Amino acid sequence: MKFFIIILSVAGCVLMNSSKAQASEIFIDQTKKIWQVGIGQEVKYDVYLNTNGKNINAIDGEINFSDQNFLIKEISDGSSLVSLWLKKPEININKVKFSGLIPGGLKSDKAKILSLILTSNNEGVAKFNFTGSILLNDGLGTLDDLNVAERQITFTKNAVDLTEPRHLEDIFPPEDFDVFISTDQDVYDGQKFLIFSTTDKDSGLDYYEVKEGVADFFRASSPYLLKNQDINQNVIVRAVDKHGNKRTVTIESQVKPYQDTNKQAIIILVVLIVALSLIAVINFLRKK
Amino acid sequence: MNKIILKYIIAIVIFLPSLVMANTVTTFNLDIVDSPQCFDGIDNDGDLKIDFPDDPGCSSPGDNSELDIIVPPPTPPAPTGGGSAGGGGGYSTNPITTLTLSGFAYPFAKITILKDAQAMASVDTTADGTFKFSTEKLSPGSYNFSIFATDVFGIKTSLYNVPVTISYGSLAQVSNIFIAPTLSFEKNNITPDVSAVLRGQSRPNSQVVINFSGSSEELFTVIAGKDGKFLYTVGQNKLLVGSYQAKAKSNMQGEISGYGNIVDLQVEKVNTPIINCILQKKGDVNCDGKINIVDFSILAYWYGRSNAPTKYDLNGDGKISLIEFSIMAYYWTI
Repeated sequence: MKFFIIILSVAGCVLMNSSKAQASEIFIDQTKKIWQVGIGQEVKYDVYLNTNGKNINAIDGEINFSDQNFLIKEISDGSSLVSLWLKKPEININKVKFSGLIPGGLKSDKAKILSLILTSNNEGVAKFNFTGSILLNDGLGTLDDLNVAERQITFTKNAVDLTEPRHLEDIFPPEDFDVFISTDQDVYDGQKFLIFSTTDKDSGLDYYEVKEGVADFFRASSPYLLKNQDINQNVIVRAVDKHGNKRTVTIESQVKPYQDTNKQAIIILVVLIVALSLIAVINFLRKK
Repeated sequence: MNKIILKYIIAIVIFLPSLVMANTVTTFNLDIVDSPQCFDGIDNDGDLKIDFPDDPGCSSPGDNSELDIIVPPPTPPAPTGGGSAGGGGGYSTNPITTLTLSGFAYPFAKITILKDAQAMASVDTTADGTFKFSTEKLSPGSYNFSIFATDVFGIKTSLYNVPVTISYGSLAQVSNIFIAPTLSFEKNNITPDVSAVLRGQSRPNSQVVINFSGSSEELFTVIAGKDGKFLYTVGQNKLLVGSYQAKAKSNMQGEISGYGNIVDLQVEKVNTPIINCILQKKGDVNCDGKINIVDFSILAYWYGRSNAPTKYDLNGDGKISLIEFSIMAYYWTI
């Protein structure tokens, strides 16, 4: 009798566990499992997401860190599985905040979100904790549970020298991308703007630059309000990664050649008419 | 008493596989052939030299062995005269990073492949609904490839996502991708005295399970034809006034696709024409029939701003938050 009850209990537990989904988790990892770092060394830590079997499509995250004695030298989104950043990861007083989208969703036990490169000039323990929101890919934007996780990294004089060169091997430019010209009555009062986005697989994307006509390149972000609304000169959009590799997309001038030809033809015609009229007037006066 | 318990156990044993199957979606197979040893950044033979050209065991970057070849001393030339053979030859080119995606959709459908949410390529399926795509134009790194199909009616299905990490010179093969069926209502807005007609396309001869929900949830099953087309009709006067949703998945001899996009139906006392495109395609904020980076950008413009137009408030909670973006990401096409 007891045997049967045990079997029933086990079967019940199996069924319950199979249907109960666990919370997602953001965690930090390092391929060489280095949690002790020498003073002055730079070590790269990747921040991952474990969706615990669920299909998610939006993330809003925050990494809080405690110790003032270390520095986040760089944040990279190289090879991030977040396809579109709504808020690119950036430091904001003891916090790294980010939010992004994965259209179509993602189910993974180790999806890379970003990388942190840390260093310190003092001994101490840096504590990180990860919080945020995860939304399910269910068409409703349902909020999923997210476990709060923590990680400690100790900076010490005695650690083995593990300083690694950063991005020295990144020879690849950012990925190909399209630039869209768009208008919408609710955006920039219906004026024309550019839309662009890409990723970089190694050192991560650094910034975009735009050049309109003969003007110089300057840093820009999407959506970008065009200064030259006629687009009668080429517009160049350039994505630059953290190693300086560039990917360039050119939008040709929207003024079609025939429009220029038409203008020229009209000018010639007007000149001809004026000339012929003058000749006619001169001939008429001579006859008189 | 024991007999009753025994019956429970037998019932669990019988129904356990079906309970598990009900939630099981056939997943794709991912095979990755790593980079050649002479191009993988690892000291494979332990001689403290890595890859071509540093490791003497590497004849080219594509050489798959770092083991040093012991070259025998040259043999003295034969005493007889004659010309010498030409030698040399250049190195082969760098190893190629290749990705292949293959699987099943519907006959004569158009398969669109997105790389990190942006269009990369499209291929057509064959008469039996299979497709295959291959590219060598990739940098090493992690990608989120998304695949969707457009059926012969022009209906698009949901995205099928494949996260893949590709190393330099590796060959990644993703196979057995099973695209969910397409589904649409013939009319999205009807009166109770009109039948609701659902149609779509699926893998040929597959069983299509339609999940129809309103005040309650029902499952309908229909078998797709050889051309993959299927049709299901909910008879007139069977639906009360209200909002309904439907989604479908395919079952082909135990291989099960995920659910496709959710489609909406409004049953109203009086038929009112749909004047707002957002009612038909959630997330299509600029009403161009696509849900892509343009819509994302327009919504991003209003993210965090006050007085955003109500049409961008996709869930009706009075603000533009991450939820709007999640809804858009669910319906994403290009």
